[in-house]
Amino acid sequence: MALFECKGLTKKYGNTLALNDVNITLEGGRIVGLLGPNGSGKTTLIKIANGLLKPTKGEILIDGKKIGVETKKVVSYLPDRLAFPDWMSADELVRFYKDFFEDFDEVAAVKMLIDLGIDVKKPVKNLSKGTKEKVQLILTMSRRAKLYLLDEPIGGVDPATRDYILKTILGNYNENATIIISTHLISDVESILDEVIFINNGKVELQSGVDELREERGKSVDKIFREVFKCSVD
Amino acid sequence: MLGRLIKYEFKATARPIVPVSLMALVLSIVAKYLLPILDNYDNVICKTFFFVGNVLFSSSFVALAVVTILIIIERFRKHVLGDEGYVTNTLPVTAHEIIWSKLIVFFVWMIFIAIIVALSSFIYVVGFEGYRFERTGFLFSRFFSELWQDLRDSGASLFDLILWCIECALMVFIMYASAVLSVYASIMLGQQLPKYKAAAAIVIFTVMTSTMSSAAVVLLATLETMGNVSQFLTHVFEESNYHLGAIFVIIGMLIPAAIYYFITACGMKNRLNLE
Repeated sequence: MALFECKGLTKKYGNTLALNDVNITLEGGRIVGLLGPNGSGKTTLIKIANGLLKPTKGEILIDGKKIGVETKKVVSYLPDRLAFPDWMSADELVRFYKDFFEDFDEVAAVKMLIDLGIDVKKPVKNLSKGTKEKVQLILTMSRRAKLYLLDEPIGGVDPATRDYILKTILGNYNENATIIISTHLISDVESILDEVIFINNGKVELQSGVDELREERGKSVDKIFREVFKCSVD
Repeated sequence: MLGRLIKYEFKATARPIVPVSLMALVLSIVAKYLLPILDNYDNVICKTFFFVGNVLFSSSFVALAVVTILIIIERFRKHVLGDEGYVTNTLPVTAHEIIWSKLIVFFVWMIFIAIIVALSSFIYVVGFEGYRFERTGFLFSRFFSELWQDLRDSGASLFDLILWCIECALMVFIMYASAVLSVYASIMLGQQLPKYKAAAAIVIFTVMTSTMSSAAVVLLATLETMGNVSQFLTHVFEESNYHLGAIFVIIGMLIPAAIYYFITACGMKNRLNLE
């Protein structure tokens, strides 16, 4: 049974087709790049997988189940914005995640927070933007989930923070799990990806293993992406 | 999971409600014991402080009401439909659990605020002097014993009294829940017009609550005009010591509450559309 399946997934906002008959199947144990320019449908797909949006047609199945309470137990989501209650301190957030998610590794989370030198007693609203993003990432990656959905995890942060984020992703995820990283910053994530899905205007343009793609085209994924989306890339 | 949602809802809402409540209590003590001292001094500054102090005390009750209403609106908007919604709606909990956690927590806060208002008013009117306590205690005890005697004379039993208390508590809860749910339903429906969310929510709230109130008035007026039905119902209610009447009222109150709940829950399950 595939871990993640999109079947005929379509999402319309009024007359705008955000996703157009998307079909994707992903097995466990893969790091997948969901790559596309801004407005291509990456975030829409991820939101539907989290139950934050309802599709117009089609469905997503996670571990064979429809999106609901049971899938939320096994999916760890990093949104493209700061989403936690910022009046809480980091240690309160750790307790919050521990209370709601059985797979949350409190020890790992606290260790990462201490390693970063974050004052766990301070309300997170008093932390810098980059530090808040790191806290959110730590909470997400401290879950031993089956599927990680990371929406633009490295957008809007400095290069040093990007390196830290990628290192944290690689160092802390459940190896039997699948990570889907949505981004348009290909060159930064290419080295950690097993598989890529190119999406544009709501349609899947390409799905392939990274090594096979490089071998077939003789180029980096970043260069292939630029060629495929040459008129769309900002 | 409902218990955990309730725990965090209490934590989030205690932050504004408790300080404002404590302020009301402190101001009642200041108004009772410190301000009269200022009133004895015949100068502008003392008179101004006396006036401002009384205004602040009166305003503290208004502040409590305003803070509570704002929290009900803002908490739902931010926690379910705003950025925090990206966490709330991805927790392994149902929409029903989220709604019920908010209803239960706000009901408890309503009881807490009612106690604070009663206590503040008591302090301001009666104060802490022993003889005043005694007199007030005597008046309350006399009131309740006369009430109990009247009830006994009318044929009511202790069981009836307990049942009336339960019925009243249910009515208060449903009335309060209906008010809160009407706000939630309006916000959910307003959300469907992304460019005009706030305005749409206000219009929808006004139309929805007016429609429900008008429907209730029309129904009651229609029953009144049906003389036989009205007489029959009155007779049946009297025979049951008004318990059937209470059930009738509870069912009547449940209908709009159920409609608002349905709109809110359906909106959260099917039309969430976080952007």
